[in-house]
Amino acid sequence: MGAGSGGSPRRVALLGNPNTGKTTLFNRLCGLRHKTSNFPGTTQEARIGAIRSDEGGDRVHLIDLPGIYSLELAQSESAVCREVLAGNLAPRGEPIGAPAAVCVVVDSANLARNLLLVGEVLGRRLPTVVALNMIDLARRSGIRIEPAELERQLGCSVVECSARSGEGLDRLASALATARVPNRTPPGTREGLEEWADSVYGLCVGHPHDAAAPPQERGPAAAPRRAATTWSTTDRLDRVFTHPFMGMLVFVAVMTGLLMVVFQLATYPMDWIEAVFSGNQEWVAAWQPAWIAELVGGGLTGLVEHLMPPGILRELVAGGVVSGIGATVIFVPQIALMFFLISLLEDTGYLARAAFLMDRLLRPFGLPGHSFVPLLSSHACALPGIMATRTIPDRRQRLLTILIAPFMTCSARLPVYVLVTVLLFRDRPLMAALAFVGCYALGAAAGLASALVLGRTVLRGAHRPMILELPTYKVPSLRTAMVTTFDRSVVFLKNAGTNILAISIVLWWLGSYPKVDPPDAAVQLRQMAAEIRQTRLADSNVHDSRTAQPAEPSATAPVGDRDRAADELEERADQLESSHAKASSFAGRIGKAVQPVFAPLGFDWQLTVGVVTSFAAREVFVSTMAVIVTGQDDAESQGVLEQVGDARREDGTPVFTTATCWSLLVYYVLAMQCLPTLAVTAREAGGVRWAFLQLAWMSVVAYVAALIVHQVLIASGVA
Amino acid sequence: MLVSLWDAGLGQAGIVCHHNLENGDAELLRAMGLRPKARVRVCKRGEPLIVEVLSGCGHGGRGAEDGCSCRIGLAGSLARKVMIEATS
Repeated sequence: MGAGSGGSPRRVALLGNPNTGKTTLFNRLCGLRHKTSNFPGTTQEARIGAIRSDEGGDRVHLIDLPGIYSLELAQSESAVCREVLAGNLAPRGEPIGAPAAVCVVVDSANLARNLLLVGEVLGRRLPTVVALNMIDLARRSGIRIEPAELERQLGCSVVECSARSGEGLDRLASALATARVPNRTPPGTREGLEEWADSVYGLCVGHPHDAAAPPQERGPAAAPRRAATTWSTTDRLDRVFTHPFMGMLVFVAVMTGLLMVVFQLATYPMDWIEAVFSGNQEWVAAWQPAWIAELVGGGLTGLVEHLMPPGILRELVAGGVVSGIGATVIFVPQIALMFFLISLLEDTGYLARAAFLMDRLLRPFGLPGHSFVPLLSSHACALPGIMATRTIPDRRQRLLTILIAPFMTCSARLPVYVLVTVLLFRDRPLMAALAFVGCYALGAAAGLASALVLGRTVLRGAHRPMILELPTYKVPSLRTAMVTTFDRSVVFLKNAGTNILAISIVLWWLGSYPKVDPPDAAVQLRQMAAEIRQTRLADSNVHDSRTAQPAEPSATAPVGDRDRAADELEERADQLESSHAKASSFAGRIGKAVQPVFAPLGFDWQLTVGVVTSFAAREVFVSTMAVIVTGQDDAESQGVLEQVGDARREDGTPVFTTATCWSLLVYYVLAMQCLPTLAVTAREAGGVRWAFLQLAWMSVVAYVAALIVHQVLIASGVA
Repeated sequence: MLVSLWDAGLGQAGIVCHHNLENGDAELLRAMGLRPKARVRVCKRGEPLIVEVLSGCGHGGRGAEDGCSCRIGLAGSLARKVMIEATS
């Protein structure tokens, strides 16, 4: 977006009631020529887009303001709009000052109510254009608006348009470039404004039935009144979608479909992203020559290792930067798909009905019906779940939902659940399955209980009863969904993504440094392997000199055995070195240092290192344990899992007792252990303090619950 | 006959006479069109209920048959405080 060829672009504030198609209009006018910012000192997002004129150059810059019902309400959205119109507030990066003009987007099919906001804006004496959006739908409903008369009554430009079909958008763009101060001022009082709006509506809106009526009887009073027992399509759909039983069935079906699409479909691009960053051995066979195959097999990490000389810089780039970018980008498919589908659902009008339906269930916990979709999404991954809280209008309830979302069992917890339930219920799959279900239930219950507690303490506030507009059912706009998806993905990568990258680098460093000498046992194993190879080589030379012939295959058999033995010794030495390096790293040392804190939970130093190193991502716990116990990071191998399960403490007692397993399971159900989630919480909640609160609360809850479980089991004689 | 929205029957239409709501809720509902003289119709009873606000308040109003309306999901605690004059 640059300045127009004729100097600074004209800044126009885009204002309107919710559900008037304002976002669709913005997307239609600006397309991807926009940036997302926020209003300083607020959590309100601002989008600034450029309308390109025929002459070229960005002549008009639109500022998309939050949807509001009135400028005078005490809500934060209304306050932001007031301040922007007054010239006291501008999106971050934009100069402070009143906008050159205001474009009020109104729903043509609901003009009477929308005129109230129009009247409030006209009273501000700013150049104004009224966009009669969704005019096509209004016409189809038999509503006939007289734009010339409306223009006369309002004293400003009125443009009929449809953001969906594109009708009238050129005229609107021209009107925005030449908007003038209205020559009429509506009454300043609320009552006066309402009467004025009714009067304007009566004068400017006609219906087919008016034509048959004498002029003095035309107007709203002449409108036929429908019998109370006549039900429209909207009534019938609402009856199904908001029915306690049928509505719930539809809701479950829709949400199941949504989550299946998001988390099944997203696995393909996520696998590709992972392969691009970390490599994919299956792809190797498809590439020739071998060096290309090697590069493909190693991904970007392998490429860096291939191109850069060994050293700290290479380790930083490969292990920290490339892995960190990969750890960020890998979330984009889920987030993009989630927002694409939510945008479509929202556009249809169904999402508001779903919120209406779920309100009854969530209200006792201080949460609105809107919270259900984010919480359900968090069962797969908290990141898209937290970002989906943007659909919650009330800031306090939105914060509450953000804070409890990570309690929902996400897919990253599953490796830990698998490990522990296998250890607890070996050969008892039914019990293991029940324990799994119990984990999901415990997470959800802890989340709802936390909402109760936090809603009455930290986020105490007036209980806001449901007031929710149920918009008209519509065919969703693909264009709007795609622009929203693009927008959300860019916001995620720019804001949360940079934090995740920084955190990844720090954690890589903590887990990889300081470099330590290999343990004596590993050195001895390598010496033994070297001796075996030396002996084999000597024997082979003797054999070759005696026969002066190439060795026959049968003669190599014992030599091959010795090679394998040497390989095994070196492999074991590698494992010991990996285990030793992990335990000696800063993260390992921190784990050992804080072990006394976790001792009451039954965790020894190995488990504590696992907990500490998986602070950034809980799924890392199993691979860390595999490295510490076996020296291998192949956490999916059954043999490795069994070795982890059989791990011993330094005094010879098992690491994983029954009591420790339960305690560990409860801890991982409830603990935060996900830094990307904290980064997104800080971004979405509008401050790092909320991320700290979330971390502290979840850590305390997890610790106390795990402590109680462990101590009760110990006291009950369950070792 | 004066009844609260909560007590109005399914499909009951009426004109809002007054509401006894706290400032914030009252102002929001008023801005959403649910204000004195507004024509309304109860589309769904129960907790929460759905009320349709018909456009053209004070003039008899346009009906939902024209698509000229909006629907509001309303908590029972609020619906009990909105009084309407039943018209059909």
